[in-house]
Amino acid sequence: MIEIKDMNFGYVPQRKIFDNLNLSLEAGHIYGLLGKNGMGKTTLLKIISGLRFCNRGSVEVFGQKPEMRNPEMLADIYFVTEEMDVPSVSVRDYVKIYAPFYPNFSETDFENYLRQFEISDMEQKLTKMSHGQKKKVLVSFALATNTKLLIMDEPTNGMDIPSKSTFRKVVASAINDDKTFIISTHQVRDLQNVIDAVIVLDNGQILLNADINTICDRLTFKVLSANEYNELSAQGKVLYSEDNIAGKVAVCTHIDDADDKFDMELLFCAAISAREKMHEIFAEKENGKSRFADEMETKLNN
Amino acid sequence: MKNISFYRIGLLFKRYFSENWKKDVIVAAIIFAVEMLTSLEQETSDISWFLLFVFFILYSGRIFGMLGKPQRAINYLMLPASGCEKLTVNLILSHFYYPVLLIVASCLGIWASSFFCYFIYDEFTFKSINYMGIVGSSTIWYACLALLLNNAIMMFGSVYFRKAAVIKTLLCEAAFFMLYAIVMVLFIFKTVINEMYVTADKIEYGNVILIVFMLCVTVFFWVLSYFRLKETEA
Repeated sequence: MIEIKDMNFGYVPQRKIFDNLNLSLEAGHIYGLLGKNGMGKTTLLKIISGLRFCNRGSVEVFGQKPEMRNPEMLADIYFVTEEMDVPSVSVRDYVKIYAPFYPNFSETDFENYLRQFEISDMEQKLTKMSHGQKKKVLVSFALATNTKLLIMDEPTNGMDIPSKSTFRKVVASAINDDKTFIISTHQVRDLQNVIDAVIVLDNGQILLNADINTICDRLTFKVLSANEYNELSAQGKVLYSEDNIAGKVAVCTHIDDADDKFDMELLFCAAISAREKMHEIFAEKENGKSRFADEMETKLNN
Repeated sequence: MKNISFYRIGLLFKRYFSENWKKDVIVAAIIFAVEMLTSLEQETSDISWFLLFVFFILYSGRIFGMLGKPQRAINYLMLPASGCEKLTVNLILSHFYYPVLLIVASCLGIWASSFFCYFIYDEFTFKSINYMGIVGSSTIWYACLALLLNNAIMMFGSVYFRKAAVIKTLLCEAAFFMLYAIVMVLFIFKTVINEMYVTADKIEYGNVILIVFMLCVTVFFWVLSYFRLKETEA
């Protein structure tokens, strides 16, 4: 669905944000895009949606170049931005104005999502709504457009706690085999149970692009006692650890029969702090080595 | 032509009118009130072309104002319509819809003053508008062409400059025309030095060239605006 090959991008030529970035995203997944501040998460989303043009390399979305902004392609992409600028119209009018642009828009779905977010007043003006309410309306609208590609930049920012739970529910209910959702976020705990694949972006490169099953197959997230920690550390199995009340929460290479629970925040910290080990663990794919593995190997050898 | 769909153009118009009808009504009301008040004392009224010209400039200079704010720019650029459709809609709005709206508001304002006079002076005289005479003269065509050209430049300015598009475009225009004036002065000076005679035929020929030149430059700025919009990033 999305193919990025050897993509270079920088706002100024001297400072590249992406240097030969490669990424392939498939339909039927909810991707969580993680990265530190300033690593280019929003920029990557903009490039995918055709709002920014890469300097070199190729980007293809549904087999088309996004920078062409072909109307048929745009009708299959929806971008929910972090900050919003809404027109001074009611929710009902907003739907009347913008829904016809999206051929697969479902008014029933939209009303259903709004109901779940507990927004009942369709006559209320968007400009009179709070930031969180606006976000709920726009997320509901975005999901109801039924576009093949839905991009959301920090969608849970400004939402209250019950709404975050509702967000997870509606997003999980909206995905199907034809759609791809990309959610960029810092609020990893908000989205932990809804994301089924993780992309970690760091220094212009994709550090990790794997689905949760693969991650759980290859890593173990566990609270370790002092003895367990020392033992696993000595074996070189601990990739990352943090102190907590119960001992140490750690990300380790896979341990058989371990009773573990996937933790996206720990995964992100491990990906950033143990890059090479993570690379070794995830580089091998079922059908041979990935492009990322080849690149990293070349870089390490050099 | 595959990038042009009348359905999507219709949707873009619908979007514009749904979001901006109140602003347009306010502007029309201002023009209406100004024309009405300034026509009270006169039997025959001229449309305040200068006032309308200022409004045209402001309007065309802000027609792509949404590109000035990042979030609005994203929303606008992500709308499922081609650059050609978006430009066509804005071109029609700034070059046809808005002039018509303001001229109609002006005429209504002048005619409304007739009825107010009836209440103030207790006599009813239907005020006529002095536009027929203007239409008849050749200067109106030059004025229309100048307006068309100016609107095209202002529209390009609004898609080119993200912030303070009106002022920046006017400054660029002023600089260009200053240069143009200098070239013209030098040309006339050279003509006088060479003692070339200016005949009626030459003037007629020059006028045709001027009209063609103005039309070409107008279309040039429309095309330029299209490419600029196509390459705009958010």
